[in-house]
Amino acid sequence: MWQGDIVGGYAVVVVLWLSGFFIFYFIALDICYLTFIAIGISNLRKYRHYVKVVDFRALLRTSLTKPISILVPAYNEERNILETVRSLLTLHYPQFEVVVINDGSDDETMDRLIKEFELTARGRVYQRQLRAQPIKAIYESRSHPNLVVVDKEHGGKSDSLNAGINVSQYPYICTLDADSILESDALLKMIRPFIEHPDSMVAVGGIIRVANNCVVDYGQVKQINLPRGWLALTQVVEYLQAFLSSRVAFSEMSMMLLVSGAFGMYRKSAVIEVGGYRTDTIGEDMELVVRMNRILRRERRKYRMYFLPVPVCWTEVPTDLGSLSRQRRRWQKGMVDSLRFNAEMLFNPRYGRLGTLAMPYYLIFEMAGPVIELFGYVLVVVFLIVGVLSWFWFLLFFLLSAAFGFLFSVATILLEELSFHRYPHRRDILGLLWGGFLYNFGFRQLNALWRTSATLEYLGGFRFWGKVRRTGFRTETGRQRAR
Amino acid sequence: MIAEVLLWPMIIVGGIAALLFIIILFQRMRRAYVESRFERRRAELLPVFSAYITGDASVRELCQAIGRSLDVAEAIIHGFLHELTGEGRSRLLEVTEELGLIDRAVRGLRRGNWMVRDMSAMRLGIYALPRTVPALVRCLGDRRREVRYTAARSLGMIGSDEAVDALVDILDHPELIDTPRVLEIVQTMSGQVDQPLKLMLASEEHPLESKLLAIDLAGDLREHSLVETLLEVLKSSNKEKVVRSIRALGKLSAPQSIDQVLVLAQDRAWEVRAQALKVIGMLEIDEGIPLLLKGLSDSSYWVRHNAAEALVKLGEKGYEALMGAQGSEDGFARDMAKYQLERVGIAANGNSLVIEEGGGEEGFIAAPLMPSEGTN
Repeated sequence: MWQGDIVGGYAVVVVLWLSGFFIFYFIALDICYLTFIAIGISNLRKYRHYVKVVDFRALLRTSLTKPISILVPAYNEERNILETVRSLLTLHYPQFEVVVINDGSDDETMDRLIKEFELTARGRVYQRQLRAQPIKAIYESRSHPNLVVVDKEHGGKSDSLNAGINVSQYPYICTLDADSILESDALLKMIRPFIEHPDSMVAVGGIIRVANNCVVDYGQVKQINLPRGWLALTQVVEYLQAFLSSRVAFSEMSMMLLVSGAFGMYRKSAVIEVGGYRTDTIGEDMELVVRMNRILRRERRKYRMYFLPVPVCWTEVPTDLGSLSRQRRRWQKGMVDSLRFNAEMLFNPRYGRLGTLAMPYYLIFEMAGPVIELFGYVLVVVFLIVGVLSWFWFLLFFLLSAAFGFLFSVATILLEELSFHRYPHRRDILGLLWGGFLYNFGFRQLNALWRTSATLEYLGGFRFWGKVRRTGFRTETGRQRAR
Repeated sequence: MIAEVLLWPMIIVGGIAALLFIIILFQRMRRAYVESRFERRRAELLPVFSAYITGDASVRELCQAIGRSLDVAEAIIHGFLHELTGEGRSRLLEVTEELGLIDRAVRGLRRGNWMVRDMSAMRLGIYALPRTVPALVRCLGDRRREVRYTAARSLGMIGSDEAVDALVDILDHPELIDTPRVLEIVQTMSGQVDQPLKLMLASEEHPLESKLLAIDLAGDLREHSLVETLLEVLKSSNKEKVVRSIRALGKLSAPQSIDQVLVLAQDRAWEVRAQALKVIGMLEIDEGIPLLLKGLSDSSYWVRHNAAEALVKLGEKGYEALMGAQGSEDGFARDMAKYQLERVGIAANGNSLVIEEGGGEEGFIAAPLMPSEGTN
């Protein structure tokens, strides 16, 4: 009996400590989110004003715009590639080229490109400044002189981007996913920070919005609709939360560690200087930016990185659980890679706020967060079964944490409403709120499970890159493209 | 008690979420109402504006129709002012004065909220009235960078002598507005840029970045009055200034520069050689063909690239030279010549050549030709 009392006593202490830890973690995380939202609110008015006042069309009349190479790595993108390339060729920008890098696709990606754009193989001479898999041929278009298609051996996205950098001829590069559509003035808006800070700006990120169920015509999004499926709908809210609050906050605090690979612009020389994209990671976008920060900081070079929520890239998000799970696992592993390869920055005051705030945030809340969250759920179930915890208390705490999560989602929707309000229909508000609800009751927990399993897989040494099922953009006629 | 500790925060959080939801709904409804009202009034006023511009309606009639819808009227006026010139523009400015919109914008320059000052400065640029220049000049000393820049831009849009003088003066104060921003504005003021650019190029006080921009603008804006100044810059020891000057002279198609360009095509710095060869093509200098052929075998990738492109620009003589280069011992020169001829439809082979990093000035050596599979 006495021994039982001791064990019971220890159990109570353990439960109390764990409960305290979870409560502390929960409070710290919510403080971070509240800070992001506050910074988002204070800055989004500024961005909205910026769009009203700055005459982007004037940039078209000046010679100060910089020529850009848009790099589009493509692997088995037969469904979307033509729409994507068409939209890029109609961008409002004085001088740019589109470099599509076919990464050894085994579908009709290459054939469709050749037929649609009258491609002819040319003996184009280029500089190999970054390592990449052998290039089989370089095609130029007879109908569109600023379109180049590189056909190469399969090597992955990083490898394709490096090959694209080698073949590109302009000093600025814009990376884009093959299933994405840029708004026609997106490049003009993205280049603005580079014009304002020509010597120091090295990377600018734009906002990614969900294109599912939007009507696309002649390469432009003509009608913005919320997605129909619950999975895509929750991702709309998730993307808004990420881009309108945390990205804005990190940018304003000069702590940019991530520029989305789906839509980012870089000074090419800066990318080459740090060695280009790593091919041994699946989080090449974040790893590049973190590495740029690390190297440039270490060399005490004056540089800037910026996130601008004004230039928009529309992309298709996964609509089935399998594809979404693979995507989130990949992102999680990529982030862990980025932290691992640049671990010297962690908690290192030499790297300023990047080392003392940004990197620890990613480590504690983004990398370890899902694990802690899932562990919390498991622990709660154990405590309930053992009888240490009451159902009532558990339910209250769960509802409280979900209420906070829902609050952040609602605040994000308000941010969107006050700033860009791209969803014009009245029913969209209810749709977004429903998406916010689902995000906190179901999606978030699933995401935590996937990210936790990814982290464990990573620690166990597995690497995985799967296929994402694409359904194609919805065209004006309302029909989905034939499979 | 534990329940109360959790219940109250949950109620508060839930309450805040509900409040935000109400704000969102209210905001959405308000916007929908305002927008529909705006569009309705706009549709009503457009015909009246059109009649006024063509002289079929008087100022009084237009003002009566506008009533208190000043914001709608202002939006319509802005839209028209972007398109109209001459008599139509004058008539619109008359009604703008009558409505007090210009004075409202000038008063806005003194408001506490910087966004209001910024918008007001922008509006004054659209109206482009010389009498608003003093107010905008005062804004060049505003505490917000955005407002200073918008004021400078508006001065550029006005373009009067007083406005240009103010912009030239601000070049001496880069702490107020970055010089590149000023030059960007200057670029939009066609016919009035030679003075600020000359000042920039002549003065030792301005940073290199600004001078380089000024050289670029001289070429882009085809300022022939600056040719002599640019020829002087060619003697500079700063490589970047020389490169930019060569480029600008190429854009100006300045025959006075030919001799110096031919000399610079053999400069020690690859950047200078590359630009000089490019300009030889732009100016179609036949005497430069031997230099271009030599450039095809240069150690620098960009010199070779520019040499090949320049030969294409020289037409038949250039094609002949490229055809001859296909027999060169230098593999790179052969393939570069072949590629350029292909682009103009003379050859039809599709092999690619990779330049490996290794020796040479830029780290280039000519690699063996790698035949590719699956080409046409």
